[in-house]
Amino acid sequence: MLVSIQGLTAALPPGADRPLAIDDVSLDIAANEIVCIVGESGSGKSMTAHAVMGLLPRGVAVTGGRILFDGADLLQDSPEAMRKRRGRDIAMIFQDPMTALNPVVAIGRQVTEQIRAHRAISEREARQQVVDLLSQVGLNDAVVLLSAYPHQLSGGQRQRVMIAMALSLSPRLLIADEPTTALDVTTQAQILKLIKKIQTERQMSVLFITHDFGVVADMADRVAVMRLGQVLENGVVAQILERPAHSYTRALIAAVPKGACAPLDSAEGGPLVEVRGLSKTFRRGGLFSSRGAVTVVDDVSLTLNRGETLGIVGESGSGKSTLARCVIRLLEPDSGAVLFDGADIAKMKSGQLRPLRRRIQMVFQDHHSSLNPRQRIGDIITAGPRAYGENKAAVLARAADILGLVGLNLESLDRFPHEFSGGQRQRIGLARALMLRPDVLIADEPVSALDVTVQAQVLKLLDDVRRKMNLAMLFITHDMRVAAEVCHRVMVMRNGKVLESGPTHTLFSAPASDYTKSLLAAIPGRGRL
Amino acid sequence: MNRLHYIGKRLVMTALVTFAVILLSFFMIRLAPGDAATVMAGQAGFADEAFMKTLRAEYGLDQPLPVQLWKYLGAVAQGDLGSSYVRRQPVLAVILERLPNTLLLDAFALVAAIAGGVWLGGIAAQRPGSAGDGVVTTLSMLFYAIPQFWLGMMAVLVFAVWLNWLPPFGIETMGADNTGLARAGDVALHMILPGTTLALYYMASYVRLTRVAMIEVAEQDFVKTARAKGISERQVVRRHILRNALIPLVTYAGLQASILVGGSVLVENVFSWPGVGTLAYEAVTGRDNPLLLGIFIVTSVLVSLFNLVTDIAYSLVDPRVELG
Repeated sequence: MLVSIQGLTAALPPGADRPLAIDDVSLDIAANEIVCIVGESGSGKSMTAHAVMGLLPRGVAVTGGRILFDGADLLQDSPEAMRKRRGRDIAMIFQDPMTALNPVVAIGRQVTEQIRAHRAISEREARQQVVDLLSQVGLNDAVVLLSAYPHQLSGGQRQRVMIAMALSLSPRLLIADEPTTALDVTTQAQILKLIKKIQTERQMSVLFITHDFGVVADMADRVAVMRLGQVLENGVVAQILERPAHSYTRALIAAVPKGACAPLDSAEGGPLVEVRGLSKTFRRGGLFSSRGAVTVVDDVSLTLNRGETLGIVGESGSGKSTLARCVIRLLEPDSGAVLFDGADIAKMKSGQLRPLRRRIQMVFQDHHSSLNPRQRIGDIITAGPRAYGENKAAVLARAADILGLVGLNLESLDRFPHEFSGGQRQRIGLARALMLRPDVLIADEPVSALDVTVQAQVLKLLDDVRRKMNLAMLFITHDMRVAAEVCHRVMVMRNGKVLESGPTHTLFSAPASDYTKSLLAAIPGRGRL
Repeated sequence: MNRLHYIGKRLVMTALVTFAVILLSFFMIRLAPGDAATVMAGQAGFADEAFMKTLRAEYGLDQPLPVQLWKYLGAVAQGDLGSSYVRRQPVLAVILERLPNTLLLDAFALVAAIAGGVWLGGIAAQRPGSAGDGVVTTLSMLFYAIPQFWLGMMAVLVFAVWLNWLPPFGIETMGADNTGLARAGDVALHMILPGTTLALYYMASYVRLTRVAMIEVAEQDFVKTARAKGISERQVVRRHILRNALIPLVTYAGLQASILVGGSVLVENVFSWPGVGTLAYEAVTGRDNPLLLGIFIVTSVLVSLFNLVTDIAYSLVDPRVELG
């Protein structure tokens, strides 16, 4: 065994929701093997990884157990000895490549820094090594990249840089803490493939943390399932996937969306929103200059029927969110028409538009920043109707109903957003939208920031609400799995254009474009779950 | 956009700002009752109507305001800020003679404030809530709260009068006729008290800014990445935490450099520092409107230039910022 975690226990600071972050965890990682720890947020999976790295957050302390690395107990290492191991023997990559790199230091320097912290070589020699490393992780123009800054790179490129950095000293163990959760599905597939390839080539061991059994199916040799700081079960991947012993494991596997949405059951409700030839171009620069223009939405047409969910699927930069913002007139479209119930809202003056606004509502991706942290839930969800002059008592009565509908209790009204979990906050966002009794709901990546289990709950909720309130829903996502779960029809977008659209099951069984095929191929764990 | 283009654009804006400053101050100065003629007559000890009239005619004060403004603007456009009533010298020459003294004092104060502030703020940020943090935060607030003139006078009392370590007033020893290095040393010695008084006041902001920024940056993901690389804690702090925490400081320092130009009036007067601050004070009490206007113009141009330098510096320390 390369790594043997034995009875590891770590205490959370007093006042946390439970006393132990990690509760008697035992886990082995053999040489040349990928071990996945799978669990929801708060399960202690990330804490376990950080404990191996010797990077537990302030306030969390190991109270028992051993972490043997090649026979030596890491917990007995002095801080200086442990520092020397980090990056050299054990390397780590993190969840969000957008924030994991120092924004003001050039890429090359960030990697050479790690090499030179452990080896006495010159900056020039180190740079040469970095060029090789960057090429190995599939980055072209490695020499140019050396002097680039993180903000000039995409999320996938940044994660490749992180991987190059982690590999720079040929560590024996790579810890990957949800390395693809913040990425598009297609980018995720590429990064997963890269990690697997490197692991095979270098015969490294990998400790891979994830919440997604789809990813587990693709990556793992062995799996440990964690909940509330404890390992529930632990075994080879085939065994866990096919014969899960624990009911919680079965629930996690079942939560992975499998794309089973039937075509619209009720009779056609007729078109509610029709978009015709909509385009949106962003121009950079100001008064004195123009630095070129980018057409983000290019001549897009679509029809959304009453009671129907239309999925808009595409990678980041495909223009799907901009399209949604134009439909709801948060952005001004440059050309084209948006017919809502027969009236063209694309060209309406704000006075005419205002009474219509409440009938089209939006749910956002980022549940952290879309709720005002200083307002109580009651104020957040009643502000809309009150702005339209509705009577306070009537609004409060409806708030009670809507909260019940989205599965929150009445006490929530007096609490602040930070007192809720991500899934709950997304429910609050939905309640806020529903309070205005909309006809159309635009959901912009509503579940992308959520764990798979919570994702499944929110998706089910959205579908229930759509049925009960006879909503038309525009569902924006980068994840084909998720689209398949709730959308009756799907439209695939790339570079601002619509590539194809059609009923979900048709599009899945017989995709017309290569791009759609690649999106489908990118679904993690496809065919193995 | 390229940097030169940007700088050109900003210089045009500087000219516009200066024009607005002239317009505003030209009229505001004249809102106060009395003019140079009344002051000069007062100094002369007598005043009959005819004498006042001659004086006003000599300085063009008898003409309608718009005409006075138009003449003034025309002169300024040619680099002529008029001549001082009291000193009977060209305004520009008077200001340029004093400006280096003020810039020297301000630069010393700013550098000392930033260096001290970043250092102390960094210490405080290492262990937020510790005794050291408390001492640093309290002391810096204390110096911020104490009135500058009082602090200045106490400094003079302690270090000049009681201990006799440092010269209390002026910029150099009168009649010493030092040259070269000896003179520089003498000036440096004279600068310690006024410079430190000024710096201590401004330092408080840097302490707090650095402390808060470093605590905030320390929580960022890339700091965790840095630790995961196995680099030493000193490098983590210097290269990753401090480097990012300094970005907001640049903006603030730029703003403050602007304020300092006008903000040293009090300290200059307490320590009789022959700078623009003391000059402004004299101009106000002497109703020397051309001189006062000239000071306004020169300082507003300086403030605009400082802001430009700040924005360029900002784009250098933060690669995400594009000039435009």
